[in-house]
Amino acid sequence: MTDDEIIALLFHREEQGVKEISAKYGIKLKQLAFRFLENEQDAEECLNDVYLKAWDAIPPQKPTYLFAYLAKICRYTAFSMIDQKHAQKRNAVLVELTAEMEQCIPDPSANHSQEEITEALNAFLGTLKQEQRMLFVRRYWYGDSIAELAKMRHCQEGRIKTILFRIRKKLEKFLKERGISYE
Amino acid sequence: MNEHELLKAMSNIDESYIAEAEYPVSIKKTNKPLIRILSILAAAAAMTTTAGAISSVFLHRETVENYLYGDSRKMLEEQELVCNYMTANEHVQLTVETILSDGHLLYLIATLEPLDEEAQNFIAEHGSFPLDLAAIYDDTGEKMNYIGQAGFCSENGNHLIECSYWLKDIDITRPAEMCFSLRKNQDSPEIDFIAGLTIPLDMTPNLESIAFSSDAGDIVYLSEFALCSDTINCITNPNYRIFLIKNNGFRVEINDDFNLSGLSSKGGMGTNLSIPCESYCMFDKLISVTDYDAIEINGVIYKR
Repeated sequence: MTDDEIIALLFHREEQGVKEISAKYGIKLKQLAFRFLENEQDAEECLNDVYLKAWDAIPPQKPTYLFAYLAKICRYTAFSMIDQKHAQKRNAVLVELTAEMEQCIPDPSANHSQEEITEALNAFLGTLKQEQRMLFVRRYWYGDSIAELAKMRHCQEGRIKTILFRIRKKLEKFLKERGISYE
Repeated sequence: MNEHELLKAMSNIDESYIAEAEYPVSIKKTNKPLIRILSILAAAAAMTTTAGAISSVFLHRETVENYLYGDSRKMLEEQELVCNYMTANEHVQLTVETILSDGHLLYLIATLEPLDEEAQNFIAEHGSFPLDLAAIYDDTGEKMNYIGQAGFCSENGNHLIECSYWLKDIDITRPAEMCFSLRKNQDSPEIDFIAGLTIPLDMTPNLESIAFSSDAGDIVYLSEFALCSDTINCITNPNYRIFLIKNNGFRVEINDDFNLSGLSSKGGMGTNLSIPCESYCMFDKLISVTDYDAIEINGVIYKR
């Protein structure tokens, strides 16, 4: 079933729409949730939340990219669960990703709204080449490991690490220029 | 803002970026009507290779601009470094947009366009897939070196290819050709729809390159598109700061101003090997080498 057909089902308030989402994207969404939550039960709970939120939001919303829309809900929900349940103990993937992200923060003490940061991130992503952007998003949005990215790009892990390092340095500079800094 | 908040803020990035990075890459809507594909297919059946240098304008500007930023595409067109060499079989059409050489590195940008459904589906489904590019001397058929290269699928369903090729121990004056094929793995289609595509390879330098040496006698080469060394692995360590020093003493850090497109070195990229080996970094826009008097790499000065 196409995304448009699934969305049409949801617009007609037919529960079959949710079943179709589950059949088409359930595994991928659960994998995404599991990557950050590292717990089967939590991932399942996150997935159910995604279905419920999608059911509530569509309509009126009509996503252009259905999977991206659902994945966004999934990631957001997973991070909310992490904040609630795993405040003291974050999983290895998150520890690794946050450590890398630390290099992009010009000033940790500066307060900026999530909207400001997201706007800056979107603007930054727009400056990257498509291939660099895809790598960055795969690593820091989807949470792919370096090994997975190297396999995907058919290159050595060192190359991926180096490219990501350079992108993070660019992001740091970009955030500083956008005033997301005390300077 | 801390690093966790930044990671969380990533959740709300534009959905188009999330969709773009989702793989296998899917072609949302192809701009290629079947009728066009069929007409190209008919032409391709009779075509082995067409003449090079069709015009001084790139046939696929978007491919070139994806890899080279700023005015680089325009500069290449003005310097008549447009290749536009086309070759095709019944499945795909390959256009070599440009071949750049500074005598140390060869750099190639190409576009692979699917002509039939099989190729179109494979490119769309696999997004990034490895190619084997073999450079062969024309006169003896001897293989010079082996290059493995992956491109990636663009939004319009073409496969964009970028390839850099180390020219050490290669006789760049001899005529050569490059042969393309799909690398065999478990995902390979039954028919290698690229196999048999070849292009003439002119490795003669067409970009300027200048040697810079340190007091210890180590040499690095700065060209319009790369910084490289064949003796010292000083370039690929991401912790090293590299500055190009202009004639007026102004220092430009290449991290910031050159948006490095990729790094490579023998024995692993991003590493700091103590053994002598080749290493290079490529810029994603062309520079004017004569603007620089010296290079500083991790505190070591290299002078012209």
